[in-house]
Amino acid sequence: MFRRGGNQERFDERDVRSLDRDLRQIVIEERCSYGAELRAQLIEEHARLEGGRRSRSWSVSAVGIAAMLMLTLAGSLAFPQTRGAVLGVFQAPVAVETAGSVPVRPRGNDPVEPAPAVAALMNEAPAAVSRSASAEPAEIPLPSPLLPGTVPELLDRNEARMIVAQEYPAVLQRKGIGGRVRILMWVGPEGTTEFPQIEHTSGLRELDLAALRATQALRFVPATRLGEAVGTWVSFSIRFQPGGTDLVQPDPEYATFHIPLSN
Amino acid sequence: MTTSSASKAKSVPVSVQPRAPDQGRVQPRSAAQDLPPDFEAWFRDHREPVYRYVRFRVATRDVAEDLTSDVFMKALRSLGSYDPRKSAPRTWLLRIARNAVTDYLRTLQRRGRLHVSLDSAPDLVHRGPSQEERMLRAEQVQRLLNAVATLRAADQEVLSLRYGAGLANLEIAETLKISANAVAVRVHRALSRLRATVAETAGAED
Repeated sequence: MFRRGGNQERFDERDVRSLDRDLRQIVIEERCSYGAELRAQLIEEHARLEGGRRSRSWSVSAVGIAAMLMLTLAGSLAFPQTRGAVLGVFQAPVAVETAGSVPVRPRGNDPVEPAPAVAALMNEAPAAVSRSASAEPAEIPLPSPLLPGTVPELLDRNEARMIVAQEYPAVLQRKGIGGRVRILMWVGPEGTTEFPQIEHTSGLRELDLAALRATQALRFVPATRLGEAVGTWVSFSIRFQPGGTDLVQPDPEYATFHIPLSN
Repeated sequence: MTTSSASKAKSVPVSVQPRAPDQGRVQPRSAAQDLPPDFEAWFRDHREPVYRYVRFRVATRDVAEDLTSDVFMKALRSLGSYDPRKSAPRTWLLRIARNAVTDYLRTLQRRGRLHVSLDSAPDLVHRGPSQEERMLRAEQVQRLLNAVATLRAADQEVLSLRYGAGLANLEIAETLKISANAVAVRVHRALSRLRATVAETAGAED
């Protein structure tokens, strides 16, 4: 069995330490307003949870009170001494006239004359309503949820097919081993790719690296927003298959369509 | 009850009611307008480590933000089930984060979700003294992260906790429920595999 020498081990150890240092140097820059936005969302959620709890406790109290009233009522009806008084409450209301007061009429369909001040308001109100109804509703332009534009598209599919096929490791092709790698990359306004990164690995390092290499050589028609070329992050999958490769690219609605790279 | 009456008084339009002498002062906020005090402290102290851990494991800032929001929402909803005797708050939150990331990656694998973002600036950068050096090192950082992404999930996990969340071995041990020695070994092995991948990538590019 191959055994590494002491120098090689020291060399490896130094590399590992250097990697450790490099990884510690990576700074993750958070969007500056993210913390405040998340806190606001959490406060809203907390208020919703508290509201739900309070309404639940109210409904429990209401049920308890109703149950107590029912029990009291049933108890009162059981005794002849209290039954009359309880039933009297539920009898139909009659006009009661007391000295110096206006007779209270039982409810009926008779129209009730409004007080003069109220009548004046009622006469004015329809005019105010009709004025506002006759006015044309102002047209408020609604902001479009998506700015009109396009997503990047491959400049030359044949060339892309060749690039991907060239990077497909020959050994894996011969063995019939394939896989799918999802890559995320920045397509600049010039259509060149930058910062390619593996979004989802194929499980085979060779294929992942081949996909990264292929990505760097791909050329795109850049994305546009309001007719102007802009850079954008694009995520797509490269599928390596012994019979040919596929490239899956997103459309503006995030759905996928296949661009077969093999004839 | 005083708080609710205060809020009612505040809701009256100023043009109708004469301005009270103390109306300009900041009113004490009701409990529903704030987070629970414990949770507020957790949010303040542990949001960044949780976010950094998540960001180290997923490909974009947008996804990291969504997942971190999910983590804290879930924690807020299940605050009653948290047992301080079992784990520290940070460990608890990171455990929720680990589950969220695992679920996300599984969904990604199953559905093949695609993502397009207009966010242009890379948010994982080198801690350089100047902007120029940061730009120069951007490619190196990207290469390193690409290599991390090709490692197996267990290696990515331990590296994300260490270099993303910035945890010490003991804290990682608590999160993963293994010994601190085992963490040290895992980190070292993950770094060795990362070294091999980086060397391989450099060789392939040359």
